[in-house]
Amino acid sequence: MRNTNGLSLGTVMVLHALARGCRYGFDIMEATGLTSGTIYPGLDKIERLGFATSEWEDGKIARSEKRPPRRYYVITEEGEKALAAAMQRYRSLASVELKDGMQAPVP
Amino acid sequence: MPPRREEYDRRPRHLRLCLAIIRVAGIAVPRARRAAWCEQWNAELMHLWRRRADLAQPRLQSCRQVILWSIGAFKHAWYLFRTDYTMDILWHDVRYGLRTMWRGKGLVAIAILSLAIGIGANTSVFSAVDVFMLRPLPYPQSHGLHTVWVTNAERGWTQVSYTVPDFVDLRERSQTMQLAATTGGTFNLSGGDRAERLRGTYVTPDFFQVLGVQPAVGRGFTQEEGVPGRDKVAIISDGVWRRRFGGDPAVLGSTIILDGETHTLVGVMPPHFWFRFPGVDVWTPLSFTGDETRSSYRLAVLGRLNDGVTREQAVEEAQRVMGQIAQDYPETSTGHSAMLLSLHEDVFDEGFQAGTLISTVAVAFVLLIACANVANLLLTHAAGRGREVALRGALGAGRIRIIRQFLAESTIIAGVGGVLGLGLSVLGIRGLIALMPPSFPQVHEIGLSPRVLLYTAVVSVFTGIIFGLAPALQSSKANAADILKEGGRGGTGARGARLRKALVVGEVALALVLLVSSALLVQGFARIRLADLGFDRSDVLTMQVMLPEPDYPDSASVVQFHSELASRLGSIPGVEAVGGITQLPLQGGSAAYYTLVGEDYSDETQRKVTDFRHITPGYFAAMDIPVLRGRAVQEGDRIDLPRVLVVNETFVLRHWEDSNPIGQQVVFGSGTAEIIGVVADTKDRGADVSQRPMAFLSAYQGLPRFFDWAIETTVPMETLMETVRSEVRSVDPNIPAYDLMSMDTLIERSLGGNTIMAKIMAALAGIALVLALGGVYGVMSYSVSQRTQELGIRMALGAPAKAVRSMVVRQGTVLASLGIVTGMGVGLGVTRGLSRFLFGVSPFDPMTFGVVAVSLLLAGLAASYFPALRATRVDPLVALRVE
Repeated sequence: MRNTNGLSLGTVMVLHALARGCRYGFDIMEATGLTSGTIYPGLDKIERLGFATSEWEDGKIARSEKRPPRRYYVITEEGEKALAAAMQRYRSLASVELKDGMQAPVP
Repeated sequence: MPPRREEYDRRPRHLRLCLAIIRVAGIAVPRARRAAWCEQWNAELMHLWRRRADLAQPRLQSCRQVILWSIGAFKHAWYLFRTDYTMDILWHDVRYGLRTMWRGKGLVAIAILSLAIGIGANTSVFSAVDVFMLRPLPYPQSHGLHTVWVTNAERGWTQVSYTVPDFVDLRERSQTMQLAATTGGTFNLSGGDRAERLRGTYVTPDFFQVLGVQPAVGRGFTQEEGVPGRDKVAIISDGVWRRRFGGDPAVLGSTIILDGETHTLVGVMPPHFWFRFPGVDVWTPLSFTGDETRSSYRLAVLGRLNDGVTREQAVEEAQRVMGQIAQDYPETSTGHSAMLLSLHEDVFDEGFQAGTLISTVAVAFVLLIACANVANLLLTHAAGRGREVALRGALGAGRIRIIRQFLAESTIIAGVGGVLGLGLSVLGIRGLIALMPPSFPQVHEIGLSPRVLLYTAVVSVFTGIIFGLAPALQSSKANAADILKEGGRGGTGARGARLRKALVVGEVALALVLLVSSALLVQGFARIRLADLGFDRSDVLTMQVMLPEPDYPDSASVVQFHSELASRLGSIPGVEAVGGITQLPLQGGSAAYYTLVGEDYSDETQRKVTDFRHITPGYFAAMDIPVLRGRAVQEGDRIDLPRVLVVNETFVLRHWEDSNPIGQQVVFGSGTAEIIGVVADTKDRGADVSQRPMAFLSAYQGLPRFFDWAIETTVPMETLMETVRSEVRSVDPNIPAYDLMSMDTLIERSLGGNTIMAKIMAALAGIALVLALGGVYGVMSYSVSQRTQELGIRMALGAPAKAVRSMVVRQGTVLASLGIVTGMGVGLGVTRGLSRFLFGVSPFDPMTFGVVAVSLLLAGLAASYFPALRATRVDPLVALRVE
């Protein structure tokens, strides 16, 4: 299933999750229920198209929380536009919502 | 920043498994991104694992989730691999590959040519294997078709035709099969401008129904046409229809004259229709009178399994029926049983199976040799590029990237080789078809079918990848710093050289196997073809005539025809002697039971058998068969006089080792004959069959309707053919002389199926030899060029040219010897499988093995001599300045 932007439904869902404030892969997985094999290539594609930027979080924060550092993604303006266009085209996206009880984590 | 190592080890096993999965998947990720990629996946894995722990899920469930999640790393890695390796880069690889290949165009051309030859040979052989062995026979639901045969363990029968009453009984009682029967025949088709001899088959009326093929024009036979007296109808082949009747559908219903009897044409079979063997042009109904005996075995029985019946059930039933027959008719049928062959097994028998298997293996060997050559040449080519590869590596090209570059090049080579090979295979297939005797069915189907093209494509791509991989791995492994330090001289170092040498040893070994096999086959071929058959076959023209019963009803008229023809042929200028015989050598045979007067053979199975022929007086003279005792058959031995008999030496040895056989009486079913002479043995059934006793009776005391003629000539026989034809016509214009050919051609044709293997193997072995020697030459000349510096120093220090030369030759010889020893071992195992085609030549013939080994060694010497010669021409000054 592809729209004219060349974004697959999975990729649009990832973009949508980013727009809703999800910031890293695992987070998106919990929010969307997509498999890892869809999310990470989707993130790469989104970044390559300039719809998002990414950076590694500061190692100090991670260490203080005793976990590995995360790679955070932030949606760009182009990303928002592309998402809006895709949402228009994807009626089926109406059914994709964040799952109950899930909240975008606050950094 | 990935988690530290000690942290992993404290983690549960399933987590470590996930980390391993991620690491494996990471191999496909472009090198520039791999570290970051692994880090990201590891980090995400930790998040996931912690979250699972927080949620306090059942352990098993969370394990499964985590492992499934890590499998996604493969998809991600594949995605990155794909997007990284875009068409741009592919195109770049191709362009770059073409450029570098152009620089080494000599080597590349040899590689492509080797591959083209290998692929061409494989495609040619596969096209035949496909038609013979892989395709179903061209009949609807052909897997249900079987042939049924009589067996008899007591009499040593493994596959014997049916008698008419046995067939009728089987057909009546069978619940598992629809059954039809056929028997061969030949027909004189007269009328029109000239008479013609056609091969025919008598078939039961339901034959076409059972087979599932109906005439393309007109109809098959009806049940009523299987009754004697109403059976004068005929179906003809498409070939005869077009040739004799211009393809005119209006001929249906008209009459043709077969063997002097009027038949109504009712149908024309589709083009290329055949059953069990090709070349049949007429089908007429097989009618049973009810008087047939249970001791005349002449029907080939075709059965089609009914729906839902297995072959085992059909076999069991046929055996049961034959068992009943054996009980009911003990005097003729004791011990009878039955066996089934699928029609495919029947047509493409063990000889075909062994032949196709051997050809396939041989041609695979040729391809392997070609591939070894390609790998070798690519390694050589790559070795010269050590510096280039090192530079690319130093500039940041990943190992995968470099391997890809090499693979692109080898795939181009394989692709071009494949296309050229396809072109060569067109010639190969044509040659292969030309070798096939007319008795091979389905030959017209052999060609570049879609399946063959697919096969070629797969083989090409496969060889491209497999044999591009070796040099790719070799060169990409090299350490950039070492090579740049080395001054770009080598690149792949000792390991590459070892691999190249191993490839050459393998090539020589395979070539030796092929050479030995083909040498053995050619010897076997020569043995049956050039063997002394006991008669002189040069300058003998042969032909056949057949006298149909309606026109030649009795012995008098038959004898009249033959003796008039003999005298007419004998008076043609340039004809030295003329003799007629019921069957010329290698054209099949007739055998009969006999007893000697005064001996009692009450038990049928104890009676002696001898081959027999009817001959005219000139036969021994025409064939230069010496009469050892007594006299030959003479003109005067006519029907109204006591029957005379000439026997061969083997016959004499059987009964009268010490006494005189002349005057002895021999009793045949048709009467008694007196031995008047003894002739030397002749190998009438071929050189590979043990000598059998033979009895020659006078044709003028018999009724030989089918008659072959041997005409010994003193002038080129081509000049006599038309005269011979017209002499036959002048005796009776309705009798065609057919199959006019030299005795050599006749024998060659009869051996066709047996000799094709020798021809194919000789061709393949020749190709293998050239390819393998090319390999030895390539490696040696490369090694010389790599050692220019060293050789220069040696010569500068005073090494004589001879010593340098012999050093290089010695190296080549060692490689060849290793290959020969390996090949000997393999060869001893392989040649055993050839024994069917060797006709008495031992598969381990030491002479053959020795001669081939020595020749190959000498060829190896020669192949390394030229590089050695070049080595001594090295000017020390130039050599030292090489860098």
